[in-house]
Amino acid sequence: MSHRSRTVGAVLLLAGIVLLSASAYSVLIGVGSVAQLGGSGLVYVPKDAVIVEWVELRLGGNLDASNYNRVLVRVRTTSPAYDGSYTVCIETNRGSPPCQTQYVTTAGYTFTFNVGGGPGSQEPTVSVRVYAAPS
Amino acid sequence: MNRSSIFLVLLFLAVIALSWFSYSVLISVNPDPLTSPVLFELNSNTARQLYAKSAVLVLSGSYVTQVQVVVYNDAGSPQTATVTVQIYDWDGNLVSASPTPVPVTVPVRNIATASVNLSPSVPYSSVGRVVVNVA
Repeated sequence: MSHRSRTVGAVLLLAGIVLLSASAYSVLIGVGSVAQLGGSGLVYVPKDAVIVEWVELRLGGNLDASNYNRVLVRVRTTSPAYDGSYTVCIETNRGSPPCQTQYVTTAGYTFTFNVGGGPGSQEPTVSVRVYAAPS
Repeated sequence: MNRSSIFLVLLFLAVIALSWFSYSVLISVNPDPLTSPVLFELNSNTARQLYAKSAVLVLSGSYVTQVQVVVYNDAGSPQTATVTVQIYDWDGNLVSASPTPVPVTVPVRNIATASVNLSPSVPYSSVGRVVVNVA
């Protein structure tokens, strides 16, 4: 094989590597679940990186009530590696209040969502769907 | 086969290997876009004025072993509520439950906590829906 052929082959290989790297990087930064946390670069955040520990229905600040107008959601990370800014959203019987973004650590953070008082007392079934995504 | 052909074949194989590597990396970092969408369903016995107010997941490591449920009694006399819990995975399959209903006596217009053990314990990452029943 001539020197020229080897050079052309090397250039083609190098170009291929560059193109694949660029493609991989562009996809990576476009993926919503890949977050930049704590300055540690691109980090894969699995489903159990953030734990929704509890939900609580309160009327004002009171838990001992037959109604509620606030939904409290406790969220924590499972490792300092996943500490970072998270956006938490909920969907309830009484609608979806605005999402909130806070810095969440292993110590946890309690999000308070106002959902309105609703008619009468608490519904027989109250559904609270909690989403947490790195932001 | 001359040396030039061998080189081109090796080049082709190298590009294939690199493509496979890039693909495997992309697949591993492209999970569900949400880290922890969990549905909490709090079912109350409104006829008896017994309300499910809170559900707390108790973890041992990464496994959910117990759910603590706060019950409010809005009636004019103390009552005994029975509490059960079911855990469903992301596909809607029942993966864990309380083996027996847990009784808890709730004072007048006050709260009490029922600690409901789960059998079997389930990894948090597989928890998609937590159903609490207060009867």
